[in-house]
Amino acid sequence: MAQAAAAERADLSAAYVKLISAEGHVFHVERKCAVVAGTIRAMLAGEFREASGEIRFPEISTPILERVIRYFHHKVKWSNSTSPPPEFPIEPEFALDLLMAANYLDC
Amino acid sequence: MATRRKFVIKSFSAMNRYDGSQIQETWVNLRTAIESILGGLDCGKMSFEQLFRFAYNLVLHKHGRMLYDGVQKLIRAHLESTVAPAVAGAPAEHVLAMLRDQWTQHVSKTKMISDLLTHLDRSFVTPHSMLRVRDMSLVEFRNSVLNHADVSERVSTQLLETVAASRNGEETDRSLIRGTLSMLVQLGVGSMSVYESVFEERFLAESESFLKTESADFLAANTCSDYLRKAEARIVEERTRVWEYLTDLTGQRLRAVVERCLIAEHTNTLVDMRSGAIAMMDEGKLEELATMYRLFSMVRATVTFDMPVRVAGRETGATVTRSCTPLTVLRERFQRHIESRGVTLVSDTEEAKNPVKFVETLLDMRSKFAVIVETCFFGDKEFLRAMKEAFEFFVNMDGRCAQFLCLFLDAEFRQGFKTKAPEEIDETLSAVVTAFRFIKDKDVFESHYKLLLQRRLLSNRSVSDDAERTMIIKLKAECGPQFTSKLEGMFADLTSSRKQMLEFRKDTGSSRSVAVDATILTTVHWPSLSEEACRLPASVQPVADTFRDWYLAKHTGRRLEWATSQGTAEVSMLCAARRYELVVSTFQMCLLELFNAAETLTFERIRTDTGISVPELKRHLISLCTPAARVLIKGKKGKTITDDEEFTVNLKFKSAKIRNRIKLVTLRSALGAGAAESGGVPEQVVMARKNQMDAAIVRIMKARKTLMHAELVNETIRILCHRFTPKPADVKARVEHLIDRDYIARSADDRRRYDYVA
Repeated sequence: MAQAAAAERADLSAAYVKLISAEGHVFHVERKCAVVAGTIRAMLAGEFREASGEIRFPEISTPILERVIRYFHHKVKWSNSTSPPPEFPIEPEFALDLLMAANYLDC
Repeated sequence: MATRRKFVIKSFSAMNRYDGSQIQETWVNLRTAIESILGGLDCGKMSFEQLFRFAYNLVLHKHGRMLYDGVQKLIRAHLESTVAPAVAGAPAEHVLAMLRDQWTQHVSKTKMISDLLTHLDRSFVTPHSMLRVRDMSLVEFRNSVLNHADVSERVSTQLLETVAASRNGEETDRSLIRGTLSMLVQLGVGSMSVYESVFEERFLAESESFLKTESADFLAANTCSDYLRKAEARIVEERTRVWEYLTDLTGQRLRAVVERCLIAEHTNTLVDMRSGAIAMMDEGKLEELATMYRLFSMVRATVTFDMPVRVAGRETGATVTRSCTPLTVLRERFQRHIESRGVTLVSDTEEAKNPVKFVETLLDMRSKFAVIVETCFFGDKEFLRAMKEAFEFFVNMDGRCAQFLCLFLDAEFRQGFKTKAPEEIDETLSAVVTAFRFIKDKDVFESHYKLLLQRRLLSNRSVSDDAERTMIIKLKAECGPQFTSKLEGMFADLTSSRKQMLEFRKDTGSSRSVAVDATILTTVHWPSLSEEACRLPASVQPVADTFRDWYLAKHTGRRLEWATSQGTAEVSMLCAARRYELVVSTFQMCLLELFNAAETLTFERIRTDTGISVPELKRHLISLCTPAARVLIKGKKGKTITDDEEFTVNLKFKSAKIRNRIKLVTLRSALGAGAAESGGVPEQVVMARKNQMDAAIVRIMKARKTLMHAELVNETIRILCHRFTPKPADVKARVEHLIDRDYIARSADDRRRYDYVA
């Protein structure tokens, strides 16, 4: 039982990654969503510390990272969809920071 | 809504943090990291995010150039200080392995570094259209390691030596070669120049000299079939080499070299050598021929070939050098070979005397070469055509083939088919039809066939009626109903005659001393019927008259003539108290009837009484006097007959059988005599051709109204070519004839133009 639980946890850790914001908020994100960002994909695939599945972003604040993650899901949901995707809502006050984050994360 | 924050644009305070010292600090951090990556240290402790952010910030603050140059310097320093000496210092046999190891490491390090510097690629390299970090790193490797004085040449030599070893059958590390070659391709960074200069050029040159030497040596010492096997194995091996470690492009180039060296350059030798293609055809080495065809058909390169020049169907002995593919060479030689074999057959005077043997040889030849085309050349259309042309060439050299085919069929119909199964008969007939296809002058065939068919039908000597009809059907399928309509008419005449005779017997009763069995023939269907006539004996004449009266009463408006040169009669003879029945020709019946009145008669007497022409009479008399028959006894010994020669009835006639068929001797000149003259075309055929040409010309002119001379001639030849090929001069003669007869007229304004006269 314990083994099975451990294996399940391992599976989960393989399927999910931790994204940690500047303020220390931990987001558990599905790996397939996180790799929408080219930078994250490179981090996870490389031989660096991030390959363990935990990525810290000391320059991205919680609200920005939250919206970024929302965008990941939006993107995954609507990619390969036949109908045109709805517009992704962006509040104007986050627009600039989101832009910077997007440039940084390559997504 | 109240909780909603006001929209504020923040000042870029973060950017301000990066002043000179910070930049320096960031770069030092980054440099340390890259150095440890290059040094092969474990990176598990380093944060990708941090390094990435450093690089990102440097680029963001317009220090991309510094970063790029710095990284380039680091990589170069690393390659020059550690990698290049390692590779250059490796002993010759290990240089490839060492290079591959270093290369693999370098690629993975490059990948790590370029991942960190993604933003540099994106925001600095691309806008400045410089080499991306990855490519820059590869170029550095090329410059520092591959182009090292002690590396490039040794790598190249090692590669070629390994290939040479594998060609000599030694086991080699293929993955090492493949890895090295793929490295050379990648080091070209988008071009193949590195691969080509370090490997391909020398490889192809090396391959060429190797294959040339190998093939020349092997061919000098072995037979053609051995060589083909060897060459095929070599080609397969080289093809394997291509997909094992060469690029597709090299594959194509190598293939061209292989084909040129192994096949194209030896084409003429392979075909003509003592164990070559020609010998294979003769010896029936089908498998080897098939191999040759397979190999030849792969080659697209051209070779020079000395093609014999032919003027009007005759070899002149001169040759022209042409450039064509090996397959064409093989095909040309194949065609010439058939032709030369055919010409030998046609000009062989021994064969010329025996039509059956001649045709059998011809059919054998055809089926043999058909098998070769089918199994060795895989039914190649071009080869089929070459074969057809070759056969047409020698079959039409004189008119004998058509005649011999007919004589062959005649012999088969009279004798051969007696013992054959229907399938065999069908096979023979089909074979004859295929040979018939080669004959251009189909009308010559028809005229001979008709004559022989008539002889068979009227003397009732055909073995199988079914076979006769099958042949007609085959000819019909080949040449259309027009061709066979007369032949079919002959059969129809026989059928209706049988019916008429039944009616005649019913109407008149059969109580007569002489029974008549008449065959009513339509004149146009039967060739040469009423050439010879004779006086019927008094005992026979009334019966003939009865039949004539009966027939003309039934069918008014017809003319009935007795063709006494045809037909047979059964007469009975009493000799030494035994009764014999003799089956004789009508002429013989007439002359034997004379001996009822006298035992001995002179030749002159017989001639005047029967009215038969001299040569025919002699022929029929001699037939009765032969040692086999001996019905009459000639006065003098010898073969000639003089006018006062006396003939006596042989009263001591003896035979084991009651019924005796008297065989007619054939006059020596009867067969083939007419054909030998006038280029093999019999007189009747020449006449028929004139009529056909007239008809064709008139038909064309009627449809076209006005036509140029050349067009008219071409059109006429085209229409008639399935029966015979008219000479343009002949057509011209007929056109003039038709002008004389006012069917067509020369146009008033253009002498070369004809108008149809309605």
